[in-house]
Amino acid sequence: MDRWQAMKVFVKVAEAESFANAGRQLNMSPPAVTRIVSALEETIGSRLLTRTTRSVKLTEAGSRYFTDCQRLLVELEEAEAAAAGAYAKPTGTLTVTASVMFGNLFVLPVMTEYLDSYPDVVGRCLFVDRVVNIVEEGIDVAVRIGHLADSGFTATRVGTIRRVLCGSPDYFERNGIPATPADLAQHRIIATTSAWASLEWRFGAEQKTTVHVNPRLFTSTNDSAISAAVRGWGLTRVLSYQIAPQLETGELQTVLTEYEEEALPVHIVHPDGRNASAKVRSFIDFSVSKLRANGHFS
Amino acid sequence: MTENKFSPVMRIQIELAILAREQGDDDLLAGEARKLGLTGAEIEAARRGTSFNAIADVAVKFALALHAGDDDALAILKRKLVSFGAAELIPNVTRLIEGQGNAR
Repeated sequence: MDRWQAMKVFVKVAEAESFANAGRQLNMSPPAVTRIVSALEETIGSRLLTRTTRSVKLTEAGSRYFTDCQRLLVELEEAEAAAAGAYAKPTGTLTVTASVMFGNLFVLPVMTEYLDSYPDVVGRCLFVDRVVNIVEEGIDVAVRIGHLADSGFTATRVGTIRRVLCGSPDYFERNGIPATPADLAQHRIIATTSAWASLEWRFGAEQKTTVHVNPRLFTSTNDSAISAAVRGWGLTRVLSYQIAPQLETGELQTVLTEYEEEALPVHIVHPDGRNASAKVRSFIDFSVSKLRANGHFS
Repeated sequence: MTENKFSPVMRIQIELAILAREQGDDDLLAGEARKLGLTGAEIEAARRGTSFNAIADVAVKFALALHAGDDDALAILKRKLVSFGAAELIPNVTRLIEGQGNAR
């Protein structure tokens, strides 16, 4: 019996909780799967699975063996990849995640430049405005904005960004400039209805103050809130990188800068630690230097 | 604390703008600006004579007009500072520019 093959079959059966489903995934007949697992149990001398007519469950011994098999199979895969040179030369699919706007503005240009330099890597960008589970969703590298939870992942800080209040020069000409957060009550506010949006706007790094805003316009995306602000309709609050192009062109300007909250850190995160593959290590080296050189992070 | 006070950040933006007009070496100033939290893009904007901040933008332009002796621009920018509730910046910026030689 090929022990590695038997372990792979056993892990697949345990994950699928079915001999038939595991067989389908492995392109094997159910009797062949059953035979391999039975032979494995015989070799070990312990029952690994409890079979009923409806399902297959791990025994206590099987549960421990399942965890060990998963670890050993990953290590085997890594050893084979190392021997094949995957750890020396960047190759394979590289999946990178970031929020939609950050991804479009900053990660995409880095990714395309990276792919030009590493022709054997295929890039996959997952730009979404939700919390992505790095492990479950097969992410190689993530860009995280804000303070990191203690995840055990490896993180490299590339800069900080600020939460800024902004409007167009035309709006300020017509409506004046708020001198304190309390003055926002006299201004038209544009707010987003995204998952993290709140109408309690916090200000101040040391002396904190909260202002409840009453927006006249709600939008579902930051893009449209920014667009309305550029048109001179009102003031909106966004992360500084989100209006980087409009600040450069002068279409938008910031106000109440002295009342801004503490800047938020930006990190590049990956789950593989020192065992990161060449594609992950090379992308991190490449993107850290590119992002740190970006003029819109401090 | 008000937005319109003459902050170290505003002052350094003005100094960067003036030094850029005089084509001086601003490495030290840029380093100081970074320590104050300005981004590279904000430093570049100051060198171009602008600011991402609405009031600092007028203050920088006012300082440049003062430095260049452009009375027409000065009058317009003074009115703008007053209308933005930032009249207190006028004497502060004037003192900085007129005493440029020993301002630092």
